[in-house]
Amino acid sequence: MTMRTLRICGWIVAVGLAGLVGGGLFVALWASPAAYAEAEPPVTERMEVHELIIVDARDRPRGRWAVTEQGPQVILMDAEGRPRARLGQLVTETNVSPQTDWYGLLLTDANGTDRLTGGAANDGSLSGMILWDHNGVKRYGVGFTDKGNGGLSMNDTQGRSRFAIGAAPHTGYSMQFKDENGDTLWYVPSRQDRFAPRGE
Amino acid sequence: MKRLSRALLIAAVLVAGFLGAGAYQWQAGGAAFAQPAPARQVVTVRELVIVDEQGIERIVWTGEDARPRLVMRDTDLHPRAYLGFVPPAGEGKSAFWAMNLLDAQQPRAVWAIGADGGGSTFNLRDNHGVIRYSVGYTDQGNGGLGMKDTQGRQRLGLGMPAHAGYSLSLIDEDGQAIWSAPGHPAPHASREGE
Repeated sequence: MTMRTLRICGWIVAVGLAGLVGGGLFVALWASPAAYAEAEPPVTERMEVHELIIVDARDRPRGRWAVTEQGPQVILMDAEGRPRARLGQLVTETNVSPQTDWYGLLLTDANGTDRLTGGAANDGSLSGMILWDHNGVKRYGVGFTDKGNGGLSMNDTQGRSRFAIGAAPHTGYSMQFKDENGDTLWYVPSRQDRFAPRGE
Repeated sequence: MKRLSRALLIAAVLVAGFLGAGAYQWQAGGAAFAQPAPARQVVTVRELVIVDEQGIERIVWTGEDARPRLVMRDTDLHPRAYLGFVPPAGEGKSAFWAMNLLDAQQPRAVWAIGADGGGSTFNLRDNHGVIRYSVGYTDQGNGGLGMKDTQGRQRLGLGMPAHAGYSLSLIDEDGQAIWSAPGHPAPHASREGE
């Protein structure tokens, strides 16, 4: 090996080392650890997105977390992409209002019919729960308002109240059955009971 | 002069290495330098895991085909809130879409609807797993509300058949109706809420 060859080899080594040192300096001074995410997945401290979509193994959307037109919602979908479970800000018809804005849970069947909801009104006016049948008829409702009124109602297949428990704060609690025409079949406490002296 | 040119050459190589590494970083992951990082419009994943400061998985949201679900866990990894699909518990059993709220051992409050039609139901369980309160409807329009004792025996039943009158019964521990309204015993009403 001649002296000239040795010198060339030395230069190659020196240039290589200098490049490595330069790259190392850059990394040490400027690069953030996040730049190495592919090498070793770290925990992402915080991520801001407008919408998060969860997909299954066949890339079909099965979950969505977004601020929808109604408000923030977590939505889970079946294999056909139909929303089946929602948690978040919802707009639902209740006994208090046809458009109650509330935070709660909503379960929907495969036909898109809402079947079960429960939650609390956004303005604090109501908390409760509703069950609908497969035709979308409200069959069960229980709730309390911010005025202290409340109750439980069970309806027939036409949506007519057939059994109810009233929970009025000032007039007392009561329970009644009604027929399909709305006539009371049975009622407690009876008028006599209600106005009877209290064990005196 | 020779030394000067060598020094210049080494300095040039240093700068080139610095610039080369910078260019690579910019190409590979420019987001690392964006301050502040802009919110991304849509992120699509198969699974989202949120960990606490100890690295324990506290929230898992998965798009698993057979069981898409969102689960929140306590520090001991017990599921405490579940929202999603519940596969059949066994042969002949139904699948549900449900929300469960659990204690450290078992569900305590369950809201559920059948995955393929079926009914909708809500029930509350005690700390032994016994359903103490339930209300629900089938897809035939029948429904009921029931309350059970600690042994799981129906003690109050409100029957709501689709095509008959409603009735309310109080039932003793032997299953006998001891009171009913609107006036006649309705022993079968107690089965409706199950």
